[in-house]
Amino acid sequence: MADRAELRTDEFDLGGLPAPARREAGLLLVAGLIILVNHIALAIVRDRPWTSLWPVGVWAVCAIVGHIVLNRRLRWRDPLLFPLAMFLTGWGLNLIDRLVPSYAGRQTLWLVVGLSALLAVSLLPRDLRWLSRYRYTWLSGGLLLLAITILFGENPSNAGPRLWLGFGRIYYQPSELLKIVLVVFLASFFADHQRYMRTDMIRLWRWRVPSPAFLAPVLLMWGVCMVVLVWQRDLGTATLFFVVFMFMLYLTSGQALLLLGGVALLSAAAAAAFSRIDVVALRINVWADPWATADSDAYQVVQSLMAVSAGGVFGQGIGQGQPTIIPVVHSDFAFAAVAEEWGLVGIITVVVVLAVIVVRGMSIAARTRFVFRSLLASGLSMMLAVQSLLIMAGVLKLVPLTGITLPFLSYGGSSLLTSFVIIGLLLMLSTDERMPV
Amino acid sequence: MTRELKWVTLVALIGFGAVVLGSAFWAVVQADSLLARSDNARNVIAEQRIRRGAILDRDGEQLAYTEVTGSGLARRVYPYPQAAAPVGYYSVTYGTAGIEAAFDTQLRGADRASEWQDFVNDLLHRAPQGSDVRSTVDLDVQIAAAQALGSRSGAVIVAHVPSGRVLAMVSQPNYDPNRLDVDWATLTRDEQTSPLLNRVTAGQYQPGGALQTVVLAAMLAGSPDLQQQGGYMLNSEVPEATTSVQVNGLQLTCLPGTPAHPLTLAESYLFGCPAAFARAPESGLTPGNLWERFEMLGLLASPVLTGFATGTVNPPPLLHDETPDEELVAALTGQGDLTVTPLQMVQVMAAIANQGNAVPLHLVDAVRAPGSSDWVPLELPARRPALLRADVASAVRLTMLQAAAQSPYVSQARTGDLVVYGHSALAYGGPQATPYVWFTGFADVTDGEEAEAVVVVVVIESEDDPALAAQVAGAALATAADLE
Repeated sequence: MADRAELRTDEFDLGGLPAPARREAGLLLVAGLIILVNHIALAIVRDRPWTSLWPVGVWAVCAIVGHIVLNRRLRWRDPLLFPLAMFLTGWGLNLIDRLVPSYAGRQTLWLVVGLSALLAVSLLPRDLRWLSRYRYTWLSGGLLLLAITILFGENPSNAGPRLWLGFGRIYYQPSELLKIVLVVFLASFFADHQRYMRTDMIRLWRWRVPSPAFLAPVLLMWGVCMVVLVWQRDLGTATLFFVVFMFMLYLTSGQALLLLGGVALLSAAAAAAFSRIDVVALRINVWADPWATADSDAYQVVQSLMAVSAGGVFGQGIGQGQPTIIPVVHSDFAFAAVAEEWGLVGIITVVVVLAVIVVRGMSIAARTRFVFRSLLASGLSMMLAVQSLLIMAGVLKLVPLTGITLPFLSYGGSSLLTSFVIIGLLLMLSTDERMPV
Repeated sequence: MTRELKWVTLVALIGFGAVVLGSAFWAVVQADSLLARSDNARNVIAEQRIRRGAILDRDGEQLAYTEVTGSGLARRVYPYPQAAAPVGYYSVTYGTAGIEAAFDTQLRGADRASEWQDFVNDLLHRAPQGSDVRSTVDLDVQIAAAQALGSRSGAVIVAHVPSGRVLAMVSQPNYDPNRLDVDWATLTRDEQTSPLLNRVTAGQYQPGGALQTVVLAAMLAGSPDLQQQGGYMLNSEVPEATTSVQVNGLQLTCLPGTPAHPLTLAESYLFGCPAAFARAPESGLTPGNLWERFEMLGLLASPVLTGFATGTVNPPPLLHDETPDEELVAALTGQGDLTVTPLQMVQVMAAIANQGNAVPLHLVDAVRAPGSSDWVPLELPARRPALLRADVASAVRLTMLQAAAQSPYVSQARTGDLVVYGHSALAYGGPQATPYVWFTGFADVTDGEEAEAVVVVVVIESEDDPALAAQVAGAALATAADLE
C-alpha cells in the first residue's frame, strides 16, 4: 500500500519524468500474459499436464522479484529495458520448451542466474568509476580466462569449437564475458583519449585521421582478441568484437573515414580467411549459393529458409511447425523457429523489441554528460544490436552465417547471463540520467 | 558525439529494417517456391499426415486403409497383398500405382477441398481426410484366381458382363505393398520378373493363337448373311488345316492332341490350328478388313479402364493390300508386330459375350466422402458402341461353346454345370521365343431376362500346356459364377 501511495505521487515528479515502476509493471504483465498463453497453447498441442507450465511460474517470480528490487535500487531507471528483456527471455523459454523440452529446466535455471547477476549489478556503486579505473585488470582477467579456455576448453556436445569451460555439468563460455570486458575497456580507454583523438590529427593524403599514437595500443589489444578468437574458430564473436570496436572508434573520433577503413579491413580479413580457413570458406560458399549444397554443407541454412517460408505471415502456431528439422535449431537458428511458428508477425515483434532496447540504450548514451558512460552505454547497446543483426541476417542469408546466439531468445546460459548483465549496466546508466535534479 | 550516436543508431535501425525485409522476402515472396522444393521435408510430413480414405472390395472388405501412428503420422496398411495388382501401392518415397494412383485425388480428399476449407484446416492444423473408394474387385474371386495361378508368372482378369465390373485382376510375380519401401531395390532390380509391372493392364503379350478369335470374327464379318452362310462357313472343311505355318523362324502347329482327320474352320479354331487362319485371305479376308477389326475391338489403342489413366500404345504398321505375305501371315497368326494386354483381350471377350457391344470396364464404382454413409456412384461412359455385329458375336460364341465341349483344353475350364465358352491358345514371345499359354472365354451366369456373363482372360508365361491356363480360368469362373 505504501508503495502504491509512493507511486502515485511519483507521477507528478518535479523532473517531469513519469516514474518507471507502473509502466514497467504494466509491460511485465502484458509480457507475462503472452508467455503464459503460448505455454498453455504448447501444453494443449503437446498434450502435456498443467504442471508443465512451471517455467512460466519461475519467470513470473523472477519478473516480480526483479521489479521489486529494481524499484528499491534503481527507481529512476529506463522503464522499457527490463520488461522487454524479460519478454524476450520468456519467449525464449516458450521456444526452448517447445524445441528441446529437456533443456527447458536448464534455461529456466539460467534465467534465475541471469536475473541474479542483473540485480547484483544494480547493487554495485552507481557511479561506475570502479569499472573505468581498473580497465587493464578487467581486460587481463578476460584474456586470462580466454587463455584458460584455449588450454582447457571443451564443448558440451563433444564436437565443434571448444569454447566452454566446464564446472561439473555447468558450462560457461568465457568469450561471452569478454564482450562486456572489451566494451568496458574500450569505453574507458577512448574516454581518456577522446579529447586528443579529436584534435591530434595527422594528414593522410587529403584526409585527417587520429594520430596512430592513440590507436596503436587499441589495435594491439584488438589484435590479441582477434588472433585468439580466430584461433578458436569462434568467428561470430570475432566479427562482433571487430564491428563493435569500429563503431566505438567512430563514436570517439567522429571520423566516418575510419568506418570505411574498418569495412576494408574486414573485407581483407574475410578474403584472407576465405583462402586459409576452411570454416570461413565453407560459410562464404554456403552464403553465396546455398542451393548447390542444399543437402550437405548448406543443409542448415536452406532448411532455415524453408522454415521462414513455412511460417508465412502469421506462422504455424507454437508446436505446430517443423522447425526441429533444422539441426541445432535451439541455439543458432532460434530466429528461424520463431519465423516458422509465429510468422512474419513474430519476426517483426522480435526485431522491434530488440530495436527498442538498442534505441533506448543509445538514447541513454546520448543523454549522459560523461564520455565514459556514454561510450559504455552505446558500446553495450551496439554489442546487443550487432550480435542480433549478425545472427538474424545470417539465418536469412543476408550475410554469411556466424554461429552466435540471438540475445535472450536462443538457448545458452552464458549468452543469457551476459545479456542480463548488459541490461543491468544499461539500467544503472539510465538511472542517473533520468533522476530528477 | 550526439551526431555520431544518431548516425550509429540509424545504421542499426537500417540493419533491423533489412532483417524485416529479408524475412518478408522469404516468408511471402519466395514462400511458394521454397515450399514446393522436393527437399523440403515439410512436404513429406504434410503428406504423411493425410488420412487417405480406404479402398474396399465390392462387399465392403478393406483392401487398403490408413492407420495413424502415435506421432500423428499416417501409415498405409494392405491386409490382402494378393490384391496388389488392382489396389496398387502408396508410398511417400515412390509414389502411387493402381487404384491408389488412379483415385489419388479422391483418396487424399483433394477433390472436395475448397479454398475456405483448406484455410480452416490449415489454421486448425487438421489432418486432411480423404474419401473411401469402393472397388469392383471381389476378394473371393481375386484370391481364387491368385491361388489358381500360384507361383507361375502371368496374368488373370475376370470381369462381369454387361456391367463391366472387374472382379479380379492378378499379376504374377506379385509384391507386398506393405513392404514396398523396404523391398524397392529388389522389386526394381530384375527386369525379367518386374513384379511392379501390372501385367493385366500393361503387360504386352504376343497374342499368338489367342488372336484366332479376332480373325474368326473378321472372317465371319465378311459374310453379309450369317444366318444363311454362317453354319456353312464354320462347318466346311479347310484343306490341309493341320499343316504347320512358318512365321519368323517359328513353326506354328495345332495344339497337341488334335485329331488326324480333316478339320472344319470351327474345329481348326477349337484345336488352335494356325493354317486355317493364316490362309484366311484365300477365303476373302482382306488386310483392310482385318485391320478394321483390330481397330474396332480396341487392339490398336490403349486399353480403357474407366478412371484410370491409360498409357499410349504404339500401333503396329498398318496392314494393307501391299503388305508382304510373311507379314500378313505373322499378323494373322498373332506372331507379328501386334502385341496385346490381357485387358484388351478381356474387352474383346466381353464384346463377344455381350452380343457384340462394348462393355464399360471399370475397377472402381463408387466414392464415399469421409463421415458419410452414402456411396456416390462413379459415372461410366454412357455410350456402348457395337464392336461386332450381333450375328458375328453369336457365331463366335457358338464356336467357343463347341470348343468347351470338344477341346481337351477348354473343357478343363468347366466345373459343375457351368456353361463355359472358351478358347485355348499358344503364343511365343520374347527374343527366345518362349512359349506361353492363353485362355480367353466366359461363362454364362444369366439369372433373369438380361444376359449376364463372367469373362476371363488368363495368360501364363513360360508354359506350353494350354490346360494350365484353362484350369486357372475354370477356378476363377467357378468362384465368380457362384457369387454372381
